Amino acid sequence: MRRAIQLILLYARVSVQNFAAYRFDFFMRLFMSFVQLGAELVIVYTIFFNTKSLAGWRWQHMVVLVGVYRIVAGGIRIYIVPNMRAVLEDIREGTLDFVLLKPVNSQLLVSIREFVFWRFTDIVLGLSAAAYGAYKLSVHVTWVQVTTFAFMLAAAFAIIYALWLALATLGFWFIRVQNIEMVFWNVFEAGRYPVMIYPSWVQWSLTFLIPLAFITTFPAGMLTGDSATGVPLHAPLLAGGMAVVSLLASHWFWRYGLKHYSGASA
Amino acid sequence: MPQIAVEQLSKVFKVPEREGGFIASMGSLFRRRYREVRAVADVSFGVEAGEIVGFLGPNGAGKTTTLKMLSGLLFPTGGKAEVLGHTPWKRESAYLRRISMLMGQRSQLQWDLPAMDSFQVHGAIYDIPKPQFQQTLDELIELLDISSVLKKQVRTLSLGERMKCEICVSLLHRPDVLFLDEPTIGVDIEMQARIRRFIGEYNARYGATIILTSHYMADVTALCKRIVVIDHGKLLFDGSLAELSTRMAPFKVIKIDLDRPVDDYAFAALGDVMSCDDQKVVLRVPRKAASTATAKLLNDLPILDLTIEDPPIEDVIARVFGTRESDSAGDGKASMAEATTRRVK
Repeated sequence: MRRAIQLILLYARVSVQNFAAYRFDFFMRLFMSFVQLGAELVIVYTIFFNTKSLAGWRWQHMVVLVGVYRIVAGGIRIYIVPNMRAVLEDIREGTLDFVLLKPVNSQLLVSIREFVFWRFTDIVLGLSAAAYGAYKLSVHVTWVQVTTFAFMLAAAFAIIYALWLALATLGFWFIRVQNIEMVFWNVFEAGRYPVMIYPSWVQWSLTFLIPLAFITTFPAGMLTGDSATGVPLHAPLLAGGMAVVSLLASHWFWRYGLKHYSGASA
Repeated sequence: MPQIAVEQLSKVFKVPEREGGFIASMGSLFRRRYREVRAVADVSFGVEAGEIVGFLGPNGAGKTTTLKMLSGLLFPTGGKAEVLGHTPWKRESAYLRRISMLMGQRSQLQWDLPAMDSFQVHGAIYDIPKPQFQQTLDELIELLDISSVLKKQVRTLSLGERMKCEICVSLLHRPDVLFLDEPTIGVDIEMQARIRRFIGEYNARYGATIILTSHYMADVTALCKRIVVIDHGKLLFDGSLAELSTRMAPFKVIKIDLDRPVDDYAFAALGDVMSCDDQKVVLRVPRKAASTATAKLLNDLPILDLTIEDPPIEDVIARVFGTRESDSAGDGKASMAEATTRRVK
């Protein structure tokens, strides 16, 4: 574990150095993050200009959800997507060889090599929005709410990571799966709204087939601590279970996929 | 017990294939046809500690596939291998710490950073103690003569400079076994010679076992006492260079300088006339007939000078693969020979 943290820090440092080598305009990106959050809040404002509640969610609830959506989207872009994109690229180019030659767990190594640190702006902005929404609901946000929220958020990241690892592993069989990223983001968009607004069969699919409910709706609901949102009380239990199962399954799938790795040009 | 022991190692790749054209493309969306290619077929050999062994063979012969299995990158379809007492494809970290594989065609350096940063990352990944890291690094920098390029971004380096940095990074953990796949590809002749010299020095200094593949025969003749020839995934020869020419090319090359031009002498009766340029003649004669042919030439002709040589190793190799290819004539593509086609849903 100590070694894993050491390596994570090491690669984070290298990524920051790499970023500095290109000297992109950090402020431009910061500005873009603000614009994205702003646009999402405008949508919420527009909706609640016309109605008072959306399947039990009032505007404060929705602001929390927008915040959670931004946190998760940011987190995915800090670590998960850049690393998995790199894995797919490595499988295609055959450079995964260099990862496999290292005396370090290959899954760990492929998951930490890229680190897009400036996306932390999304996390900061998202947290601020979520905190503001929760505060507007009740001035006293309890520790239980915050802890459950943190737990749900961790589970959400674990589920998405596992999902992406599985998608990247598909690259061992289907060399060109890059487009999958677009499909992912299109589906992920649905997470901007609470799953409760969808017809029941869609709701069911978004909870158990593509567990989007666990990614945004449930964590947001837990932070509000309000049963009006319709988030089941046992959601943390389900989320924890789902996180563990998906992590184990994707780990197994990755190891299975490695046996099918043939490298580019033999 | 040899340090590298390979027994009946095999690897079969399943390669999707389809006919050209629109209909075939659409068809392959639903039903894919696979061709099985035997990249390595029942290869067995052993390598002792400290040996340098050269792998020779044309493109697609199975050299790289063999090295990849030995370094744990590929799972074999059949057979066994043991390197340093480990089964490579279990990829135990105790094993990976003691080997290195260098691929001349790929880079493992961080493209946008100075090479020194990549070296440090490598040191951290292999958990090399600081003093040992510094000592090895200093030695390698000196041996490879790269002190001046360490601070430059890797993408600005010349191919030769970059290759030396690639070699440096792959040796920082002082591997006991080294797999070098085309370590001199693409660099100029002088740099090839320097890399070659370095590999020899590294082997002498650390007693590392090295398996090397190269397209440049000079790499092999300069470094390897022992040659393994692979073609179509099969092991064709395993022995010394000298033995290779005796066995694979049972010829001698006789070169003569004549005092004056000789017309209509029947050189062809003695062997193949490789060149006949006025007063200089080069003949290729069967090894066994070399002495009789020499005696006859000395007897019949006004000879100034005569030498008997082994044919150049390039020719030997070309002959080996040349005959192999004509054996399977009509097939054309080398790797097709072992291929079988079948439908897989």
